[in-house]
Amino acid sequence: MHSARTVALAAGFALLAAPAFAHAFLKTASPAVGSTVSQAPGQVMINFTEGVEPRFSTITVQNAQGTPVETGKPHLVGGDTHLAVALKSLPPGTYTVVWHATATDTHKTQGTFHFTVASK
Amino acid sequence: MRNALPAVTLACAGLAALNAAPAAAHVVVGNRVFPVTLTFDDPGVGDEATLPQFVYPPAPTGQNLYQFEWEYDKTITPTTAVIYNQGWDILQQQGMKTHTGLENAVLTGKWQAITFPRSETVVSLGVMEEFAGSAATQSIGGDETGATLPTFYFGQGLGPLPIGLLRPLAITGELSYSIPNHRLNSTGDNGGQPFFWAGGLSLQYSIPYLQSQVKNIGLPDFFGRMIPLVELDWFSPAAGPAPGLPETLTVAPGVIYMGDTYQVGLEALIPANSAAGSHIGAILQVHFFFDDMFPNTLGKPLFQ
Repeated sequence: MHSARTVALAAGFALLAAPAFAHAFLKTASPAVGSTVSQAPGQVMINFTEGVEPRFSTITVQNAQGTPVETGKPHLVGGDTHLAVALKSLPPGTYTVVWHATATDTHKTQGTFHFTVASK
Repeated sequence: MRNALPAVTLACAGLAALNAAPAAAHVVVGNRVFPVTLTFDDPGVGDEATLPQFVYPPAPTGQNLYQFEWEYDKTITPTTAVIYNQGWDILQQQGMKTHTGLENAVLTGKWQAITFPRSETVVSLGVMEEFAGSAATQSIGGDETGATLPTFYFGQGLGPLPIGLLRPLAITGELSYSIPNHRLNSTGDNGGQPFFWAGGLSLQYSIPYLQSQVKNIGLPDFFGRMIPLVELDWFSPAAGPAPGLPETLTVAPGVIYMGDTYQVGLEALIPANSAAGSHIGAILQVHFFFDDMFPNTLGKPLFQ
């Protein structure tokens, strides 16, 4: 017969061994969050902490006037944790990235950050 | 007295009860993630569990109290939840026999009433019901009779403000008013409880928010998951007699590590007035996010 302690330990390990699904949060981005870059990037790519569903996830990029500067829809790059969207040719200025992600377990998250393209 | 403990021990137990207040859910509000605070409830609902939480609260000279606590949060709908809290305590007193026993069980019904993602604002309302304790519960300073506590919770992130590197700051709080099922008399010997206020306030700085929303300063992943914070806990009798239950204030600085499916928090418990205890205590909490671990079973509301 199992002792109560053994059962409790087994339950604890079962909990820890459970498959991990989680909210998809921004881990890193390119251009980096809050960064200033000398060359205009051709895309914004976000590396999430969890896999995302590209059909239910968005990345929009706006200039200082609020005009969208992305082209096309976001798409996965490599695995399902990297979501990217292509950009138009960007003049110097500060840009705002707004993202909404739906993780593979359907949890929804969102975020906002800025990057700056420096004048030459 | 209502049990063999001196009045000052009961005051300590009151603080312990405050520390045992439900810690509930981490909550995602727009760009902001409010973590589970350690010494009082946080402002949202979720499917989660605390297991375990160890508390070594500040206590009067000559006493040591050790608390092993747990909690389970179950969402009924996406904005409502029922929360169960309890613990098992060891009370050592100089020159006296060591007492052990279960804490008073607490059930909370909670409604996340307001959620404004754009402004990172969340407000919840709840009612806590503390149940009367057995003789063993009373021997560790627990209450002989129960109480009902209407409670207000809030969380406010400062992310929308133009304050640069201070945008990761957030404030959360809780305020409860305890209505005893049996009112304490002026000599404190009828097994009742006083009417009292209990409050908590936290100021937290989210490194994950800094790294993902404001400026990536290149911290390693481990440090990028930290949320340093300070919590304040306050207890005060509200009306009528409250012998042996003075006002207490405790400051709890510490840090929370945010994992993907869990968080671990550690705080010091520093008495800010003499009634709050004679030494520094500590609290360690391990908390699991069932909504992330079991999104299709335990981790989702009973009714969507």
